[in-house]
Amino acid sequence: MLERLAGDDELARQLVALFLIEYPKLLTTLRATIESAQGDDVRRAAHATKGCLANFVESGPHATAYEIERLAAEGRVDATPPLLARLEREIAAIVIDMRKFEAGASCGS
Amino acid sequence: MRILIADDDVVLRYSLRVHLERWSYKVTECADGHQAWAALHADEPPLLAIFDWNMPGMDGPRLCRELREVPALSAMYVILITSNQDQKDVVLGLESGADDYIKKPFDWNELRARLRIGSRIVGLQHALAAKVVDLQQALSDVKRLGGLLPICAYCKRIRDDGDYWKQIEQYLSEYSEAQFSHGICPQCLETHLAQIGR
Repeated sequence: MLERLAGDDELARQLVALFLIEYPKLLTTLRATIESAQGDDVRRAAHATKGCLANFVESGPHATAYEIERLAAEGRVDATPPLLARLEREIAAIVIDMRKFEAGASCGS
Repeated sequence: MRILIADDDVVLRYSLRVHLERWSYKVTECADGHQAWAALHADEPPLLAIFDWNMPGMDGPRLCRELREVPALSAMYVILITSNQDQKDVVLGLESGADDYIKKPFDWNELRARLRIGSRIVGLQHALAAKVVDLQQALSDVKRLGGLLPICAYCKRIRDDGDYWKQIEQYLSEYSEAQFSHGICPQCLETHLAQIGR
């Protein structure tokens, strides 16, 4: 994460703080659109989640969000719930790293 | 130079604002296409813009298409940013009216360099527009001097467009770069000396 910010710890901390506020809203929207099975809404919500994650990681949850986006674009929303569960686990893992980073420890992502 | 950024990703938007302000740009931030469209119609619209492709309201390509239809905005330099990785999207983005296209995730130094290109092009366009105005004014003055001038047969004053009779020096000074230094030619000198002598 810090590589993209060229070691700018202060900005990285601010971005992490923003992400920690933002990700629950993104996941809530994504979950709601998947439950209502609205393909285009799922695609948009997954794209927004993927975009926000791209500020920090290029694999893991980013790749999972992209997979949900791709399935939604193909009209296969029914195949996305397992991916949503995986995405939530992956985001939970990076959130732990981020909270450590916020607290002053190094962020491994 | 003012720059408009429009992106629904609050994290990237914040990061963009911080970087752009460090690079001495003045930033206007928008979270969606409709906000961006409204900001484009401010009293002093920005000269540079960074639009995300996918945004609520109007997406980036639509913003590009619509702003190119507005004469006051048509010279704005626009960079589209997107996570769309397909090559055909690059073409679609540029054909929508964007001047440049950057794929996410992008390198900050690359963005800075591309913005410098945009600033230079905008600066050149403005300098060129100012030159065109100057040339149009000069051409208008030359045409006026080259046309039929109504001149008094006795005192040689010239009638201007406002129906005022002006000294020929004053008239020429207004419509050209000519300046006058007054003297007396030998013929007039002879005539006037003869009058004084009488």
